[in-house]
Amino acid sequence: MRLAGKTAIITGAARGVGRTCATAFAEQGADLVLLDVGEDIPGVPYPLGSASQLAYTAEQCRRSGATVLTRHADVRDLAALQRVADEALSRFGRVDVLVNNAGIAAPSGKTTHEITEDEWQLMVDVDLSGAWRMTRAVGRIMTAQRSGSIINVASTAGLVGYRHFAGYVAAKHGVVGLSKAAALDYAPMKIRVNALCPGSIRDDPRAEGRMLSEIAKSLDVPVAEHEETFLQSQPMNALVEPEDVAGAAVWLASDESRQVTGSVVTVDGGFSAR
Amino acid sequence: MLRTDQRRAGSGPGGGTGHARHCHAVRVRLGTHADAAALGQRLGALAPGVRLWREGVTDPVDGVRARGPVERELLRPVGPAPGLRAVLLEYGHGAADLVLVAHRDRYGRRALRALAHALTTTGDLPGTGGAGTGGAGAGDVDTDCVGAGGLGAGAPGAGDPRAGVAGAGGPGAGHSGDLGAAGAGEGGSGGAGAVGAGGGGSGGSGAAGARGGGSGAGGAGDGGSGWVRVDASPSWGLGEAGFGDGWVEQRLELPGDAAADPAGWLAALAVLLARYEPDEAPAVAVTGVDGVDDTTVLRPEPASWADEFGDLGAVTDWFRRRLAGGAQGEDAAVTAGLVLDLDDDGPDGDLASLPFLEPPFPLTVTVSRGGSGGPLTLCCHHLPDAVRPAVAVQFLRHLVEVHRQVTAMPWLPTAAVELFDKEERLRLAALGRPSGTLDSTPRRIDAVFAARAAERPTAVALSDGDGDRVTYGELERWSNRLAHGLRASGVRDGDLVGVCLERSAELVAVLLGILKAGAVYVPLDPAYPAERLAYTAEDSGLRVLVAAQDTAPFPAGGRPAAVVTPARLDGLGARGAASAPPSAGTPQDPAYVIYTSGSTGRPKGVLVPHANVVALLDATRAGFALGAADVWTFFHSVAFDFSVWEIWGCLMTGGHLVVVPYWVSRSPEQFRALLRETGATVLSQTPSAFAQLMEADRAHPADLAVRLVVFGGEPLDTRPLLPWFDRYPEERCRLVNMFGITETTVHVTAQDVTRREALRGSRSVGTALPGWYLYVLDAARRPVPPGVAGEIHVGGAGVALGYLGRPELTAERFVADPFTGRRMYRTGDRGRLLPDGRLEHLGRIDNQVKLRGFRIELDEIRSVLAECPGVAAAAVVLRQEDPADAATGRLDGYVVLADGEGGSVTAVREHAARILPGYMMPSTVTALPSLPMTANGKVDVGALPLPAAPAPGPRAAERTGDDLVDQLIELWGELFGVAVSASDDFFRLGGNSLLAVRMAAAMRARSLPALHPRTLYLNPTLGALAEALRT
Amino acid sequence: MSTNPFDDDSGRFYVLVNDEEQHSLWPAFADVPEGWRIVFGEADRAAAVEYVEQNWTDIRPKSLRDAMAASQGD
Repeated sequence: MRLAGKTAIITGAARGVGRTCATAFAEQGADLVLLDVGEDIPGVPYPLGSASQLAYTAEQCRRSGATVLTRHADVRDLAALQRVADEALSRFGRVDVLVNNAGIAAPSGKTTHEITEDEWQLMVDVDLSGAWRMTRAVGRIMTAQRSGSIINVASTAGLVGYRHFAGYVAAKHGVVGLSKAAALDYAPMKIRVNALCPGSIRDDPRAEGRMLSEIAKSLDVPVAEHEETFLQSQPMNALVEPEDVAGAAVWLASDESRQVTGSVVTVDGGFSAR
Repeated sequence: MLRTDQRRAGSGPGGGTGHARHCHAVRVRLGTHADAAALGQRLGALAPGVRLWREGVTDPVDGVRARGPVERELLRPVGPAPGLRAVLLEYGHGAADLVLVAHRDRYGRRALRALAHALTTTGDLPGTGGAGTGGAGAGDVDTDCVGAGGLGAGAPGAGDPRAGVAGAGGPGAGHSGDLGAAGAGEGGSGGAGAVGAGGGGSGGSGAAGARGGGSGAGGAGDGGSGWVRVDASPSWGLGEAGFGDGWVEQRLELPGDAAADPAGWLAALAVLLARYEPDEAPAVAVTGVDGVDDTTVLRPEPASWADEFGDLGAVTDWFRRRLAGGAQGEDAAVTAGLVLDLDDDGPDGDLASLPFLEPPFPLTVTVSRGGSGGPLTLCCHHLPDAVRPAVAVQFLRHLVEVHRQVTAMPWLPTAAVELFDKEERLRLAALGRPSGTLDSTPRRIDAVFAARAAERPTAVALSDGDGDRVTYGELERWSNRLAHGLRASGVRDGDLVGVCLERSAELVAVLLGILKAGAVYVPLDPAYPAERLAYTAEDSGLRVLVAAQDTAPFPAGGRPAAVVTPARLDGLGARGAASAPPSAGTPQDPAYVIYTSGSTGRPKGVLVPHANVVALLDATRAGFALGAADVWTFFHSVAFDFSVWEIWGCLMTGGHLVVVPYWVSRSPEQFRALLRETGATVLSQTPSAFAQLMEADRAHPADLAVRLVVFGGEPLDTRPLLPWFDRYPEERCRLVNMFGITETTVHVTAQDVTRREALRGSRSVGTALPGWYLYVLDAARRPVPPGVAGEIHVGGAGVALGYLGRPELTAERFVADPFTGRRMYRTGDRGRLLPDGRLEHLGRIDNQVKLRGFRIELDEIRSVLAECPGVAAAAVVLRQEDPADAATGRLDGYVVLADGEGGSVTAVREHAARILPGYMMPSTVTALPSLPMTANGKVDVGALPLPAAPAPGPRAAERTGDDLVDQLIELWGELFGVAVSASDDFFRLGGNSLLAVRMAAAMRARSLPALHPRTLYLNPTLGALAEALRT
Repeated sequence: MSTNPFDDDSGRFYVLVNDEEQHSLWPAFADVPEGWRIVFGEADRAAAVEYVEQNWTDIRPKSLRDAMAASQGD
């Protein structure tokens, strides 16, 4: 049990990588606080994690014996995030791990100068500022504990550029930078902050992930063709599975990586090494 | 002696918050349909701000978790604010468990049980406050919490179990006494429930009380539990890292009639600790007793408390009074503590309690009762790296035995308490005698030599710096002539003959000649000061002295000896080469008298018989494979008994003895060259001399033929030997550390030293040689349990006859052995036996000194310095600038840094600071190219230079004009014994949790702001700390 | 370490003797070991030490002295 005794908060836990991380953490002995927005957000062209999906994730975690709290919160709402952190503290007495996984991939598909003010703000507000806000909410708790591990799920888009994706790329690059800066802020308190950069993740039906298909849609490309394009550019000839990302997250959450901070862990089958 | 290790501060699996050891929990089984809503409401009324969490529990798939849900909730700690968590675990079919976890600062034993009772029994609920479901969570999805009466501290409802207790405000309902006291310490714990002070705003009044530091009796009412005591690894624990993580539990069920009286258990623990830690007044920590809700340390004074208290009953009464009066804690290092879980006043069976979530002490003994009226169980939790499991088991067993005596025989004087039964006592006495019997026929040294000479007369016996080589046959004839010469000079059997010659083949021949004449040799080293030689000659009453010149090289005394040269003796005995003169000498006759100086008094001559020396060789020959192929060095002064081993060890086994000339022995380079030239195989060295040899050896290829190195004369620090193993692996060259004293014939124990011992910095000197035996005894001549320190006593084949001309001293030091009826020698050294019979030497009893009220082991400090990577040798001196003023005492450390290993004085200081308590940190650490040595090859402490930049005394403190900072500067200066400034870091100065406790106490005494441990850890520099305290 | 009883000036002592006529100081509170008998005391330390000084004149064991005397008598 690599995470025995630990309490983890995971945002965007209703499905996809968030769900997979949650169940992986639960299997490794952690107790969990799972967040998702629970409703659609105007401006995001696809359905976001639902209450039912979040409940299902929680149920899967409980089957591993985890104690789970679920909450709906929007990562643009600092007060809500702080309430969640306080509840986590009240329930579990501690917060050891934060996985900032909540994020949107669309609206995208436009050339840089075509992106509207609102679209840009939305992307940055959720994908970058959301991670910052949640960090604010747990930072003082972890500081008092003098321990903690914050995992910011960025993307290879945080390392390299993609066409028609300027908002997303900029936000994700920001997440990588935020991770490094926060790492330096928190190092004296033995709190670690790392960026986890997955490549293109296959939409796993059990995880109900839909990133890849939503990205395809926003680029106005058939999903199969989009997958094929990506596959050709993957040195390992396979898309990344959510489990691969969760595996790295478990390692970053555990004490095994206690000297790892301010680093970028890339799980992309070699994509960004080219 | 206790060591504290900063790594342990606030530790716990997963880097705990440190709360777990202050928490306790209860689980109440709710059989029928638990009405969660009503429960939530009651909780909201009784404990405002605490919500009821609900968990639906389904069977986990395959039981993947090691612990079930109840256990997990029971073990989940909670901080002092709000100090309580309530979780309702709802199973199917209406069954449920209510788990309450509380921090003792907030809810003591009684309060928690009362709360559990109030929550779970039906009946009128006074003053129900705070209704409403759905808590303050943001968009709850689960109905996780019920009946949260709103956050924020309000006045406790009348149902608050704390409310009725007069003056009970403040952390922990157990601290009776005035309110001012109760509030002392951490004011921040969300509302002290200061009943009687007008309710509301209770947090404020609590804090106000804290500022004043308490008055009168209340000073010790620390709210911040972290300050009440500090943990230390017991020196007797023999703990070792690598025994595994986590706490180990031992259980012992007690006989049905075992008493449950807390005072009795405390008394038993105190008496036992006094035996295990004889140097300190026992500090007994206790938790969970009425009147003492969080941990309190009780420490009977004065230091000789056992004698003062007389009998066990008096000790028990003392504890009873302290408990009844509302015990106040002391700041003390705690190694073992007691947790009492004896309630039989709660609802049976349905209420299970967990007195702590994590064992609060390094060795935690819990006395609990399984069910009301059931038998008592003793349970012990310990961390294996603090206390070895075998020692914990032993400790528990002894505790039970002492407790039995406490309850059954209160009239028994505490000094008369026996820890062991007869069987264990005999077993302990035999522990220091593991090597079995010695097969040795008593013979005279000269007779054994004669046998060797007859076997191989043409083999080389001696060679010396002049290039002379003397065969066995030649040496036999030479020494015969000398013996005849001695006879002709008037020497008779049993006479004492002095020898004052340089190290040479001739010296050896003379010694042998004296033995053959049936006489006793008294070696006088020409390198010694003349006054010392004169004293030796006078004291031993020498009539004949063999010297290089016709006149003695020292002032003649009242009855000067007749001086004769070896040449003259040879001449006189010219016709006696064929055989030794007739002699009635027996193996029990003394062979030599070697003078030793103790730390007190004048040097005294130890009389050692032939049989002892032969026994020594019989005990070691086979083990060391000593034989005719060996080449030994004779390096040490003939007046130092290490030379007895070198000379007779070699010559009685047929080896070739290389006599090392004086000047060669002073030059490691030349000595190394000699070793190479002669192909020496058996090397005897003091650790200090060996350190220098190692250094000289590094410049050459590893081509020495040495196969056995015997260390003696000084304590050996094993870590600096690592580079030697790299060059000469253990299979090629065997290192053996031998502890020994002149009074028991050179050696007593032997310990092979390998890389393993060196990496662990082992202080073991091994087991006794066959025929020798050891005891470690306390002041009352009782064996102490393995692990506990006492005085080393040695018996067996090596015990000398006594001190020449000093029968009273002999009677004091060579005393009756109560276990065998023979004689044993009191060494004056401290040591402890390990469970396997190996001895750990802890230094001279005299090297235990007091500095500023702390007990200090100079040997301990030295060995810590020597263990630092990059250090080849170390020494420690205690100097007192003003002999009359103990407060000016200062520890000066010296190290020799090994070339090329990147060691530095700073690194040594940092390394030491992590291990040594602040008061044992040397004020100065000076690097020297080598340590000065005496003629015997031991460190010459008197010749160590004064540190180059002497550390300023505590008086030379900086003044900043800021009162708080200045006070801290003064305080830290006293604490560390060095001048400090506002930029100094507490931990870098050598501070640790023990010192932090003392500092907090000192600050309280000066009415400075209360110090919370977290504040210090987050603001370790003096200036930052002052700032933090101000805010 | 608390004062060793052998060095305790205020303690009470015996002087013990064994078959070899070797003397030993002994704290009065401790049992007398087998093979030894009391020849002086209970007394204070100074008196016990004085007794030893006066009475133990030859620290060689009795058996050794006897053997030497016997051979010298030849």
